[in-house]
Amino acid sequence: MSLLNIQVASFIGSVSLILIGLVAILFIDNLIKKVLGMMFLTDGVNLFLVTLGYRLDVPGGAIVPIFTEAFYRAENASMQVAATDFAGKASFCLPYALVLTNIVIGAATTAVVLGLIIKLYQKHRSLNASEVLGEVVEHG
Amino acid sequence: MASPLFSTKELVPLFVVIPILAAVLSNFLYKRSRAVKVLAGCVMLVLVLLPFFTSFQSNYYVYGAHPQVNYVLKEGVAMAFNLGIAYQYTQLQMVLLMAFTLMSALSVGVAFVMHDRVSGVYIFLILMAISSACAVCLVDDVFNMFVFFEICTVAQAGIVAWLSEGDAFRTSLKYMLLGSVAGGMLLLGIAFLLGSTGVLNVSDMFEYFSTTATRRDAPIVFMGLALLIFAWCYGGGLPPFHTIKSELYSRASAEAGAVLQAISKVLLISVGVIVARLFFWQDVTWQSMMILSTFGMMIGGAMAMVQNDYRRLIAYVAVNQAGIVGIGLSFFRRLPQYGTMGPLYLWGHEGMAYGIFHGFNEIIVTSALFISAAVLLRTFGHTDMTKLCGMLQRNKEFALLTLISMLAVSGMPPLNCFQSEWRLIQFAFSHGFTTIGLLMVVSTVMVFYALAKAFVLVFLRPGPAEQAKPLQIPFAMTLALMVAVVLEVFFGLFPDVALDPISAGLTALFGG
Repeated sequence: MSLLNIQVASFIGSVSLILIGLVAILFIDNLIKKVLGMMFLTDGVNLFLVTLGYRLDVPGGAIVPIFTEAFYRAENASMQVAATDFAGKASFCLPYALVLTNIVIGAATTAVVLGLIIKLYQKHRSLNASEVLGEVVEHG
Repeated sequence: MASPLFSTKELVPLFVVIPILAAVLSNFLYKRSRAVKVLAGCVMLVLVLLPFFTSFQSNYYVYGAHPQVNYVLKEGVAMAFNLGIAYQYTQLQMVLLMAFTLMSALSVGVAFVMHDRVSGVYIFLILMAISSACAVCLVDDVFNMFVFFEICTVAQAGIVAWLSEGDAFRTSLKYMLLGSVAGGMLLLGIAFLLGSTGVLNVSDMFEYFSTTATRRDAPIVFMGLALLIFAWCYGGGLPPFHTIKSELYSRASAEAGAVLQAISKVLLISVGVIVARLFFWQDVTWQSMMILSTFGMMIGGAMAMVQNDYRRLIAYVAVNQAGIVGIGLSFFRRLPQYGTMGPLYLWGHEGMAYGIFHGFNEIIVTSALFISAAVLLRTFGHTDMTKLCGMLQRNKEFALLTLISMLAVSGMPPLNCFQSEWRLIQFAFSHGFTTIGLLMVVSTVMVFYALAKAFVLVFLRPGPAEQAKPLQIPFAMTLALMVAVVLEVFFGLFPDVALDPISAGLTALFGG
């Protein structure tokens, strides 16, 4: 499969994950499935960001933006050449940094949501969103 | 406004760093109530003073490992990294943070009185929320904006859940679930912008879109705009998130409601300014902002009129006022100036300055109203207006202070919200937005009616004889209300003290 196809497939995969996540959060009645939907949504956005980092303009495919051991072993002059070559071939690493941060945020958010669900389950003995979330007493 | 005393631009990150460190420390202190109070009091005092000692800047500055980390790979071969967060601290941010930190400090002071033993966890959540709101206000980088936006969401949900009541847990969970959608959409929008511009820095994107007219009309950019506006509505409490926001304000402890609504206003203005800077060239930006804000304003006003719970009423008034601020923010475009030669389009952010000025005023006024709700909650244990009565007999000072804040938010002269609302309505009429101007007048009448009803029920309606004994209100609560009233009168009489720096800040951000 060519790189272009991989990128397109990844974009389609990320959009699918986002849509599945949205449907689960908004329409599925089970609270745990809603949490799974949240995770699908986060993963879909993460996949989208990772896919943005692909570079199609490098013949033979872009390289992972990590210095190898051989890079450090090279002589000074050849290291300069290698650095230039590396900059020309390495994929766009900024989205990967964003994804790492978003994974941490997603984990923290999921933990808080699961904590709230546990407290509500202890009270209602149910995980149905219509039952647990639908009882807010409206004033006025 | 006078310039800050020292040239201390390096203090800007302290708005974020100090509350985060204090939050972590207060979490460790946990049940040591007195230590937590001392710590939180000191931190809030520092935050209130910080805007006065920090130099505002018209450009952005990079903090953290400033200016560069020089990583020497080998002798003679070095790589330079610029690790850090770009902050924007113009007069606009300075003024906004002055109001926000002051009202948050007063609310934290009220929290000390409201709860006999202040938990370290509660203060941790409040400080994290304050820190992240300050960060969203300051950052010049859309990804860091997203990160602090998410932290703010979790902290806000935690503040409500801290009450450990069934309704509070439900509201928190709903807020978190909707927040996960809004946060995901915000990051996706940021990904679209990164894909189309290659940068995350707002100032760089602003330059890119200002100078590259050919690529900014790509569909991916419009998707980014739509998703950012979605997140803006969530952060500011505009439709379709007005219901959950008002629920969040009213389910939290009353003084926490003051902090939460102030945070919402800071997010509304900060994210709104970023959206305006990034998409100023596209008419659909101001149009969508204006439509959503108008709905928020009208729904908030209408819902406020039918409430019987004092906190719920103020929560909807806060939504209504957010709508007015949003309308002001949407007045940033090229506006037609009608003359003898026909319409002449001029770039201007005068109307936007009025909108931000209204947000500034609204942070003060609505916080005062939530603090008055805290007084009622502490005294009676509830804020149901059908059961409250005779407060005027019991404490005239409290009644007067609340009345002034109610009149201020209703747009009565010579108080601060009158100055901002009057300018916004005048601006709307003079620039062809007649319908919007009329709707703003109608919404002001609705808010006045709702608050007049509340005042009659809670303060003027005579109560039973056994309830007529004088009511003692803690000094911290009276002080908070008095400070708010003094500010309402001051900015009503001298609006330019806040308006001039806001205009100067917008000029720095958007260019002359």
